[in-house]
Amino acid sequence: MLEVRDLTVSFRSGNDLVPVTRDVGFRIGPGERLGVVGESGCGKTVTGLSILGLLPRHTSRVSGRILFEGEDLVSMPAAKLRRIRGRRIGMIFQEPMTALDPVFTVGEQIAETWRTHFPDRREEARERAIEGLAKVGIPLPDRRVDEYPHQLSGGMRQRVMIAMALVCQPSLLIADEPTTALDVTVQAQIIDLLRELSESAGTALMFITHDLGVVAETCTRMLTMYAGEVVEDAPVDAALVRPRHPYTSGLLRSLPRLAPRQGALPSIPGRVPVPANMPRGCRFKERCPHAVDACAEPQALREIEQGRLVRCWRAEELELPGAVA
Amino acid sequence: MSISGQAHAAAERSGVAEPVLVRVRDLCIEFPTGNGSETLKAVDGVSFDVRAGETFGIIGESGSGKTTLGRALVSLLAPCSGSIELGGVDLRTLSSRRLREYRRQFQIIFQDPHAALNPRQTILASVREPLEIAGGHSDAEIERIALDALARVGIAPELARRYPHMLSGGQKQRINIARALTLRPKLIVCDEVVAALDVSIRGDVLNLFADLQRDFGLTYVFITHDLSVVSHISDRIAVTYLGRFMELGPAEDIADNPLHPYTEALMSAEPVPLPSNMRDSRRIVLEGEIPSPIDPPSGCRFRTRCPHARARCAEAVPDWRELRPGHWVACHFADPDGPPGRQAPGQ
Repeated sequence: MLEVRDLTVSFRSGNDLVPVTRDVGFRIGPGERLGVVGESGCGKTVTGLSILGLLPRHTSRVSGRILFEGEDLVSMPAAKLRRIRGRRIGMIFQEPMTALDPVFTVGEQIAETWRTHFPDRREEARERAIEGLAKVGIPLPDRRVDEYPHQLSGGMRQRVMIAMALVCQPSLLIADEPTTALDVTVQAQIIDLLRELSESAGTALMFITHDLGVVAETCTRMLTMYAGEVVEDAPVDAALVRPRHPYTSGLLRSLPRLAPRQGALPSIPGRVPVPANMPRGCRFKERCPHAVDACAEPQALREIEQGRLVRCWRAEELELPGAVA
Repeated sequence: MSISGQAHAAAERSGVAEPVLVRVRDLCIEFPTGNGSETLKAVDGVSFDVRAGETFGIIGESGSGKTTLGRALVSLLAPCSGSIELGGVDLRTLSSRRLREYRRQFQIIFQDPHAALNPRQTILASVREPLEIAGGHSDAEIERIALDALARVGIAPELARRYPHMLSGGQKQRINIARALTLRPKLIVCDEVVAALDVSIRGDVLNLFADLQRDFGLTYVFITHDLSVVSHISDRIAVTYLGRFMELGPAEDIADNPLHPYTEALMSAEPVPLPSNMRDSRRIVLEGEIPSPIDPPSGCRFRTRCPHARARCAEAVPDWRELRPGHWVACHFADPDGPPGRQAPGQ
């Protein structure tokens, strides 16, 4: 349904174009839930924004192909993309308060999305908004529909965002850190809601997060990104049990939950290379405990078994620890 | 932190507990609301002791009062009632001048490592500043202490002349730690100190805290919403909800055998990075969100979200009971085997 190929996003810095992602590629099938994980600066948010065509046109350049239901979003004219964005691809962002307009009621904001995409069915908009609020578990939806964002709690606002994203019944929902600003008990509610909605309506999900626990509980597949590249693409359970890229393994081993209590925590030494000064070969080499000289050569994303891709030439020979010791 | 943990265990076996460094009794902290017509009780009647050399974790969701409590411990906020004793001295008895000197022994490190550093000052100047304000050292001594502190947290001397924007988040947090160390504090309150850091470097910073505790005999009050972090590093954990403690006990018990339904739900809400066949499926999903602290529920504050609430929970505030040795809980219906509503083993 969605196929991203060789996606490279560059930002203008002075007179130069600095690539922040390189040759990102992945697919999302109908109803599939893909978790995109990685640390700050790895390019996961930029990848999500580029699919939606939301990167600033003057300061960024997108190359490669983003095929959505057979059409290339990269080369698509803006007017046509607007008919897909919000209609067939929904989106949710991290901070529900800044994403909602404080001077309109939540009902008006959900209805606006509907009216934009179904102008000939305008009169249904309010009804659709109430139905949407009910679907995301907001009590008394016919009253809440007339409330303003400030009257709602953080969790309720994020439910409104989800209702807005789903009102046109998109086939793909892109959620960028949708639970990061929420408390853990509220996060649990939102995760369950997203999973249930995806399962019942068959909506595919691209879930961008730094939290591997959230991915484990929400997604079916996990895409690990590092320094602007995809380093591993695998079914979630398989990646957790036996990661095939040293970075995925390092991330999992750094989680305090998995370390013996009160013992020293493993971590990944060093820092992510900066976009303007990327090494030619493996970008993780400097921090990798398994690096050898040959890692200085560029690494391809290879399929090492059915449904498992990894960007490490040593993947077959390494025995890497995962979440399960 | 294993060292202090073992020290406690040894002390408890021999009947000699570590001395109490922080003693908090019936602490209340209130804020007026925007229009002044109501008061918000951010902390409402909290009592606990922190022993010298231990790591005392405080967990809670936003609005639970944990940050307010931490700020009060280092006298950045004045209590409305109740008392805080640090090192046996009741802070209310000190003149403001004496308090300024005394509280140097009690430092705090904040969540955002970037916001805590002055962008116009070099790293070295930021680390020197507390010593310059404290006085009593020559310029050369201050320089040496500051560079030593930076070296101790793993910041190379050549970075000392740089500015904060040239460093990573992890490095900046190390610098904040160095700055807190220069005055040789006994206690450091750590308020969400790793929340802004990426997972892969979080471990490094947490390990540094553990090393420093061992080397300098530091006591930590570690405030966080991150359950896996707090249960990893703490000796004891207090669970806060709407300005009150719900539960307080040894870290292992709080994580694995909690007594309060809130703690139980909090622990089960944490997403676990394990494959589906290894995850505990009995997740307790709480309804709703934390109520407003301006008008908290009567009786037990958790009752509006508690799956086991009964009539009595609305009528009476639960007593603070020690149900297991050193393990306290505020719940009418908890017993030493666990929270109410649990299934008997084997069911």
